[in-house]
Amino acid sequence: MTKYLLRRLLYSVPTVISITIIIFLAMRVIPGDPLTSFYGPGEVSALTEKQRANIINELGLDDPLYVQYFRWIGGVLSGDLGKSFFRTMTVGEMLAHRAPTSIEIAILATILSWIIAIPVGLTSALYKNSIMDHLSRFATIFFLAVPNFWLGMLVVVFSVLVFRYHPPSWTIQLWEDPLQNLSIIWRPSVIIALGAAAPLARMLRATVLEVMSEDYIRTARAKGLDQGTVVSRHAIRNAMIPTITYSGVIFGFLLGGSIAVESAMGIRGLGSLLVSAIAERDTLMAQNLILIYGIIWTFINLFIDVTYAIFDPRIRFE
Amino acid sequence: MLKLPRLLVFCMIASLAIFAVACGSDEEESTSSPAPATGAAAVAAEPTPTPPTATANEAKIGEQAADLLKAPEANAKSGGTLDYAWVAKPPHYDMHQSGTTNNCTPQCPLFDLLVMNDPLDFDRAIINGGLAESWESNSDGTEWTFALRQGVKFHDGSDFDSADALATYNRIIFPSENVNSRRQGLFTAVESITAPDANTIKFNMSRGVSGGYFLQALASGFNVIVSEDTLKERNDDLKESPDYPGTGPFKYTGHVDGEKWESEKFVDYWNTNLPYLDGVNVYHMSGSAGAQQRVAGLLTGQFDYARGIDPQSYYEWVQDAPEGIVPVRFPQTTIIAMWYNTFTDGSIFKDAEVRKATNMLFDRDSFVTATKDTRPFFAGFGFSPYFSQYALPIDEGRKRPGMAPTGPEKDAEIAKANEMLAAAGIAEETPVRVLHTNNGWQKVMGDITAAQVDASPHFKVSQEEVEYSIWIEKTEEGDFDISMGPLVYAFADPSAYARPWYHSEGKTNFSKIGDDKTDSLIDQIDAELDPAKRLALTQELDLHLDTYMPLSPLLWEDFVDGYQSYIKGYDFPGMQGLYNAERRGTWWFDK
Repeated sequence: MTKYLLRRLLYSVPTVISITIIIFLAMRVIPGDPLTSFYGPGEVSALTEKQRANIINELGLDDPLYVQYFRWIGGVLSGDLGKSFFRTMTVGEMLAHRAPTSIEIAILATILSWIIAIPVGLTSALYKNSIMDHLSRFATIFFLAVPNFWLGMLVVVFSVLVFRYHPPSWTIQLWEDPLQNLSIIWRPSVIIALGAAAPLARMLRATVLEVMSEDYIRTARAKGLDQGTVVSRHAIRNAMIPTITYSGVIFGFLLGGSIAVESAMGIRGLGSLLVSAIAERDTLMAQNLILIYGIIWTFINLFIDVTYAIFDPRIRFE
Repeated sequence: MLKLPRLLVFCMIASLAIFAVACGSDEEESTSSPAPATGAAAVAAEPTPTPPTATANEAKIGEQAADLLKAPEANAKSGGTLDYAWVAKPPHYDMHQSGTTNNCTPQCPLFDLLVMNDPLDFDRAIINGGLAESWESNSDGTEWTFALRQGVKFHDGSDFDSADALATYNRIIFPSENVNSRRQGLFTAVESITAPDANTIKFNMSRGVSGGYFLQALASGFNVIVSEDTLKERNDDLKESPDYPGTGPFKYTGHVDGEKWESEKFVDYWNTNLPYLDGVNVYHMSGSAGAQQRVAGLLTGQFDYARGIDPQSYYEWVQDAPEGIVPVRFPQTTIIAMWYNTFTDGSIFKDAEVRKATNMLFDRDSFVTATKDTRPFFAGFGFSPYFSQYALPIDEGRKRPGMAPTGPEKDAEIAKANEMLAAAGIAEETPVRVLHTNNGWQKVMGDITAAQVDASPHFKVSQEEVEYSIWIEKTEEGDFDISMGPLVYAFADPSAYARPWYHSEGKTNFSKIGDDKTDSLIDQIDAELDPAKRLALTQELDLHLDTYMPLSPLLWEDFVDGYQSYIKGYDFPGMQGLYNAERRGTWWFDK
C-alpha cells in the first residue's frame, strides 16, 4: 500500500510539472494586454512609452519566459505564491479568503448529491419501469439537460421578485456568522447538487441493474438472503465503485469552485476569482489557481483509486 | 415589479454573457458607460433627455457662499450607513493617476477638492464647498488666487495648509517622471503655482483662462488634496496605498480586494454640518452577474444605491417603479465617434466631400436601438456634448448632415450621400477598412458601422476588431480607413474637449485634420473670459466643423442608476458624469 501510494505520488510529479508549463504558456498567449486590464483602457492609452516600460519592468514581464517561469515555481516551492499587481492582497491571502466558500459549497453539494442520487437511483433500479422509475428518469434527464448556472440565475431572480430575498453579495466566513454564511452557500449548493445528482442517479441505476443480474447475486439469493441484504451487502457495494469515482470527480471539480454557478449567482469563491483573474489577465493569480486545481485533481484521483480497494477487495495495489 | 417574460429574456441574455465574461470580455467594468435612447428610436414612453436651451447662460464662474454647505432639507438628520453598489474595484489607489470612476466611487468621499460642483444643483455653479474658502482672478484671467480654509485636518490628525495644496497641484500639473497625471492636460495654461502664505495658493497663467473652464477643471473629482508629507513619505507613489489620508467627510477604514470598500464618518471634518451618514460602504460587483446582483440588492434593500443598473430594469422602472425605488438616467462624459484617415497617401478620406458623404451614411438611431438593452446612448447631434450648455438645440441638430431620423428622411439622406460619393469620383466597391473595438456593445456598433458603410455601392468593407489598447495604438498610428470607438472627456466644457479633439494638433485628433478657422476659434474659446461670447464661439465652431467633418460624432453615453427614495441631499436628477463631486457628504436618510 505504501509503495503504491509513493509510486502514484511520484507519477503525479510530471503531471503537475506539465500543468505548470501549460498554464504558464497559456496565460502568455491569451490575447490582451495586462496593463489594459490593470489600468483600464483609457488609463493605459495615456501612459507614455517609458512609463509602460517601467511598469512592465517592475512586473518582471520583460524577463525571458524561462526566468519568469522559474521565479514563479521557486516562489511556489518556498510557499510564496506571490503578490498580484492587480490586488493589494497577496495570492495566498486571496485564496485563504475565497477558498472556504468554495470548499463549503463543494462539501455540501457533494453530500446533497448523494442524498438525492442514491435513493433515486436505487428506487429507479429496484422498481424498474414503475411510475417511480419513469419519474426519476424524467427528473434526471431534466437536470442533466438544464445548465445549472441558468437554474442559479432563475433562483436569484425569483427569490428577489417573489420573496424579496437576496443573500449578502460579499464574503461572510462560516466562523464570522454561520447563519449568514449558510444563507450564501445553500442555494448554489442545492443547484450544483441537483446537477450532480442527475448523472449520479442514472449511473447508479444502470450499475445496480447490471449488478443485480450477476451470478453472485443469484447465488446470494439462492443462499436464502433476503432482498434487503442482497441489495445492501452485495449490489450496492459493487455498484458504488463508478458512483464513487464520479463523485470524486465532481468533488474535485467543485473544490476549485464551480465557475459558472459562482459567476451566475455572484458567489465570491475560487471559481469566480478564476474568471476575474483570466478576464483581467492577472497571470499570477490564474496560474496559481490552475496549479491548485491540478494538484487537487491529482490527489482526488489518487484518493479514488485507494477507495476502490475498500469497496472491491479484489483490487490490489500490486 | 419586473414582468416575467422580460425577466426570462434578461436571464437568458445574462447567462450567455457569463461566458463572454469568462472569455475575458469584462467590458462592463470599463470606465466608460452609456445610457439610452434617441429621438424616435428611443424606448417607448422613456423620457428622452433634452439638452438645456442654448441661451447665453452664465458659465459656471462659481459661487462663494458665506455659509457652509449642508443638505437643503430642513429636516435633514444624521445616521445610517450607505450601502452603495458599484461595478469594479480600483485598479490602483492613486487618484491623480486615475481616470476611472472605479477609483472615484470608493475614494472620492475620503478627500476634498479645492473647489467643487454643487452637489445640490449641478446646473448652478462651482461652489466653495471644498478647501478654498474664496477665490479671485485678475482682470485678464492670468492670475487665480485661492484663500484656503483654516482649521482643516487630515484623517491622520495633521493640519492642512497651502503647502499641501501646492504639493498636490504641482503633482497634478508638473508631475515627476514616474507620475502619469491624467488631468495635466487640463492645465496647460498654468505656468507656475505659488503659496504666498500658509493660507493662500496662486496659479499663474501663461494666457488668460476663463473661470468657467478653470474652476471646472479644478473641480474634477480626481483632483483630491493630499498632504505634502504623505507624498514625501510614500515617495510620490500612491498606487499601492489605499489608506493615504485625505480631509474628506469620510475616513478609510478598510477594504476587501474586489469585494468591499469601507469608510466611516470623519468626526473632525471641517464642515461641521457634514457628513450626515455614519459611513459609506461600496460593494464591487462585476460582470453580467454583477448587474443582476446590483439590481437584486437594490430591490431587496441590501443596497441603498446601485450605480450602473441594466437598462432593461431602468426602462421597466420608468414605467412602473417598485415601491421605494427611484430610477435615474444621466449623461456620462463619453463620446462614441468615427475618425477618418486623412493622412495616408491615396486615402479617399482626404477629400472632405467623401467624409461628409460617409457621415451621412450612418443611421444614428439604429445604433441606439441596437444597444439599448445593454447600454443606453443618446444620438449625437453635434460636436459638443448634447447635455451641455454649449450644445445646439436638438431641433437644429436633427437638421444637420447625417442626423436624420430612421425612415424616409434617412433613406433620402443616404441616397444623397451616394450621389455625393459618385460626384467625388469614388468607384464602386472601393475597399474600406473599418477598425473598431471589440468589447460587447462596441463590437455591435462596429458591426453596424461596417454594415452601413458596406451598404453603399461605393464601398466594400473589411472589418478589424481589436481590444481598446490596440485600437488606440492603431488609431494613433493611422492604421485604418475609418476607426470607431469611445473617448472619455473630463467635463463638458469646450476647452476640455475641443482642443484635444478638433485642434489640428490635438492629442486625440485621430483624423489628423484641421483648419486655420478651427484652430483660431479654439484659441479664442480658451482665452475668452466673457461667458456669452464663449458660448457663441463654441456654437460657431460646432457648425463650422460640419464643413469638413474631422470626425463623425455618433453617440453620447448616458448612465442609469437606481436608488432608495429615502436618500436625500443630492441633485440626483441633475447628475452629470461620473467624475465630479460625489463625496456624499450631504447625503442623508429620510427614514
